[in-house]
Amino acid sequence: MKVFVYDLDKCNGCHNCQIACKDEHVDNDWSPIAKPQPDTGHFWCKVDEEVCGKTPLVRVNYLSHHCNHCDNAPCVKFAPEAIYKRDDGLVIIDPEAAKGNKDILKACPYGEIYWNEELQTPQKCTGCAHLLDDGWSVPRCVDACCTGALRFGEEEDFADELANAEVLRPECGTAPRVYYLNKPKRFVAATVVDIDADEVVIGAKATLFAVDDEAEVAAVQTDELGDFFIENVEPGTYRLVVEKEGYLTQSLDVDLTVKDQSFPEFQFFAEPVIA
Amino acid sequence: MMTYEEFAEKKMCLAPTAEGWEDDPVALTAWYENWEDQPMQTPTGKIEIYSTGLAEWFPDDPTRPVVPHWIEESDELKERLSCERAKDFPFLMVTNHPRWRVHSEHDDVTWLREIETCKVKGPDGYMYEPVWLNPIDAGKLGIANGDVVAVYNERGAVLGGCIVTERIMPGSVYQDHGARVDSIVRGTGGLDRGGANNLICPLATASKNTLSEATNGFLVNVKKVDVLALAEQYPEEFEREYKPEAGLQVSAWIVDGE
Ligand code: SF4
Ligand code: SF4
Ligand code: SF4
Repeated sequence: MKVFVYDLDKCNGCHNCQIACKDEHVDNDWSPIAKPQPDTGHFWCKVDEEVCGKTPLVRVNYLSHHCNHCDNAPCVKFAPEAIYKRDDGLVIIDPEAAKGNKDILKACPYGEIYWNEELQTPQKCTGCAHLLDDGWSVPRCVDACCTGALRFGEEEDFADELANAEVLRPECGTAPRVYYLNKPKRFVAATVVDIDADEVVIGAKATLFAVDDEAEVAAVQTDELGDFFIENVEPGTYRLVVEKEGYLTQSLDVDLTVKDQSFPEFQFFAEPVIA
Repeated sequence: MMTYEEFAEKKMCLAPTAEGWEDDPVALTAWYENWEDQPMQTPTGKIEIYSTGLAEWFPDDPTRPVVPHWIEESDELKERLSCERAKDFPFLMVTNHPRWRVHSEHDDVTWLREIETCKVKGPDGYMYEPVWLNPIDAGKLGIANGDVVAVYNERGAVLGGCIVTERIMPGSVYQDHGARVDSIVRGTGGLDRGGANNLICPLATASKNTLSEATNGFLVNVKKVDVLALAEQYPEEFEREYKPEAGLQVSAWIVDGE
């Protein structure tokens, strides 16, 4: 059975997948797999952008997503007469059998189904089943991904990598066939500044401790610009300690439960010199 | 590296870094060691840091000096935050090559325009060219995400849809260049709805003796505008034939529309 595998470390947000999908399906009738997609308003493949942190310690995350071709698909359960799963794992909406049934949109917890107003039928990613049936080894979006972030193939061939992969919103319990590697977690970042000297502090050690068991989570050093980034931290609350010889050690509680944290001016003070 | 047949099959060949590259001579070493036999096209045949040609022909050009160096402002170009003009126009405008177009080409491509960061929908349904503002500046100016704003200086104004974002630093404003012109008021001191900010960039070139543009960074101010009021003021200009998904229609510029 087929899987889609995204490696988000490689995704640069180019949107090629989103545009290639439209190129394949807009104005093209691939019945019985799918009817033509309207020119605008449908995103069978969609790239989301999320800006995290504070100027200038900012990261932009991209997340491309489409139908998850779930093994335990609520849409199939909702309309078994119109939506079916193929032997290769792809979930297909039969455009004729689903005609007029707008409620199908509500059956997908991921919001991946769109309504075609003109044809009065629900539509979504088909896994480009028409191409696979025609001998293509991968769908259009995968073919267009220039970085290799998006791949497609037999589940067994990805077995090693899938051990570390995540799916979107696993709590929905739909058993998605679209996997994500290296999905970014939270970060905490700062520029450490010696306020009195009006200079950044290079080589200061920043350590992050978990608040509950005081375990050390990560330790890094500020770079030549006085910056540090501690990335891929699980959401939660932490204590940040920044230290360097000759400076007063500073510590701070950071809440990474809902979002990343940047401290563009983390104030540092030299130890008072006793004359 | 690989045979032609292999190359034809794979359609690409990643040239590996040469072995022992650390011992390669520094670039231009061969020229440096024997420059007389392979002179540059400069008057001296050498790489000129002191330009003998400029020294001969334009020795007194203040903005294209004989030895290149940083010039904060000139008589013609006053576009730095340190300039007197910055009192009235306190933001440095950055006009990059656009992410979702090639200059003004493809500004009408429906699949690009519907990408979230490509355009900002105004209250009048028009898709405005994004203007990025840092939250600190947006707060000071009373501007919220999605508001229609005017970016202006004494040369004129362009409209845009504000994206309040941490991706731009305070004191700077960002709007891609190349949005298609949709003028409300033409000429100097005019107003453009499309966000074609080339209309308000400096006219002066880097020097009066050369044609090098100095248009990617310049001083502006930003203010929130009431576009519904503007629409009442300029009904004809606001009623040009327009489709949100593709932009201004060519027919809008043709007599009788055909
Ligand atoms: S993602 Fe939605 S549409 Fe796709 S199979 Fe799962 S429930 Fe159905
Ligand atoms: S598999 Fe085909 S239909 Fe699905 S997102 Fe990719 S290009 Fe679009
Ligand atoms: S084509 Fe590949 S790199 Fe580009 S946005 Fe899609 S997944 Fe990311």
